[in-house]
Amino acid sequence: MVEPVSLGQFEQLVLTAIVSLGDNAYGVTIHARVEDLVKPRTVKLGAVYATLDRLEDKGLIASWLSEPTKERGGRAKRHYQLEKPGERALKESVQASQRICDVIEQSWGAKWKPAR
Amino acid sequence: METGALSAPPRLLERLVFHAFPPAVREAVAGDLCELYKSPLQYLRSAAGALPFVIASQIRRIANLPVLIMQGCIIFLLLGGVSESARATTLAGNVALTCLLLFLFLMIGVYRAGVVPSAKWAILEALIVAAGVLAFARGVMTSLHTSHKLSSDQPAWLLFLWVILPFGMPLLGGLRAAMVLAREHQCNPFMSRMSAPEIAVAYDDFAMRIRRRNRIDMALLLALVVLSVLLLAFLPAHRAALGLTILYPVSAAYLFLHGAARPRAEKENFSTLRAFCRREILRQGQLRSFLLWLLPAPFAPLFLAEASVSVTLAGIALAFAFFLIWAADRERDAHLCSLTESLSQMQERRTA
Repeated sequence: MVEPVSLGQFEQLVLTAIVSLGDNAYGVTIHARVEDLVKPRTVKLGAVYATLDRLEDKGLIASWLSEPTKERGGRAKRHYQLEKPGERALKESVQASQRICDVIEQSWGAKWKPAR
Repeated sequence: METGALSAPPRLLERLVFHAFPPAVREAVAGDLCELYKSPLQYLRSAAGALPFVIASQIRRIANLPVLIMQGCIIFLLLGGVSESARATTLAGNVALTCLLLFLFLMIGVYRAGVVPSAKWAILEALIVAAGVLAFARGVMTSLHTSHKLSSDQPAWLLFLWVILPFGMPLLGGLRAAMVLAREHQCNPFMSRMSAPEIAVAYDDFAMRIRRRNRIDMALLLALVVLSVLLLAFLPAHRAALGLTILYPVSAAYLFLHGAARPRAEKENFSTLRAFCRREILRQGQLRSFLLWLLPAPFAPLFLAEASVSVTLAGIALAFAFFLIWAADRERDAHLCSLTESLSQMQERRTA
């Protein structure tokens, strides 16, 4: 039996960004996608780095350095991808959010719709 | 995303920001900041905004709480500890200085992680620390001599004056150089291009070496229990010192139960296996660091005893032992760094 990993809201956002970006998931793109997800709020780039480190230490994502590119001043990118425990944790947290939505809809009626 | 980069930051500014970040992340973060560059002010603001998060995250990654506690106790005791003559203000000052030094060690660790030191830098660092150890020893011995607790014709004073003082530096420097050379001969099983099955073989080999190492360490820890009890019987032993020898068998039991490298899952893909290896190497590194700093722990409470001459001399011997432990830990860290660096830069080699 695999221990379930609980995710914080920001961790869910970062994992979602990595999933949606596929092969192009690295610091800048993940930060931009997370900002899209939390609009109109803004997110600090440093907070994204700290969360990526934490998720990697939990074994939910893996990272590797790519070849350096000229556009980045000859610096390499650190790419990220979801690992199996990360997929499982994200699925579980999405299911929990879904259940919360269902319960609120039952309590507040059909007129309630979460803002998109 | 790279199309957004209209121009590059000024070279000097870029170098400044690059070196402000810890080495473990600076390549990727500096590249990201370069990609987001709009103006020098915006660039500096982005870097300054990201830096505290990155440093805090690196501190969380490298901090080894048991080692920090042991280092804190050692520094506190070397500063004078809780000797009866110390006043409350001195104690508060010692606690504050200990905390400050621990924070400094953490920051050094953050900027050291991810860098294999060059031999030149290792020698310079060793000379500074060895000079510090000798200065500490000289200060203690001189105060004993001037307070007439140690006369000029006693063997301890003669040994210090004619052997330790003139030959201490070259001896410590030589030992440190030998450690650097030994590390350079350690093998790194991870190459720049490997396939998933090859990483699995390298990991299994690593796990086997860890098993062998654990057996040796367990035997050593159990032998140390006997040795330290015998040694403490001849020194004016503090009760706490004897009590702390229990840490040896407890650590041996921990090694037996949790010290082995975790078994890898079968048929994992390249990146999962690489990330798993990296995590396990770091975990083993933290465990080894703890074991190293544990070695002198039972002897540290000797400083709590009344400052008799033999206890003070034992304190000097401990200061020398700490130098060797620090150096060994530094080299272990450097080897670990070269392994994780190889893993993070490794490319997948597809097998037919």
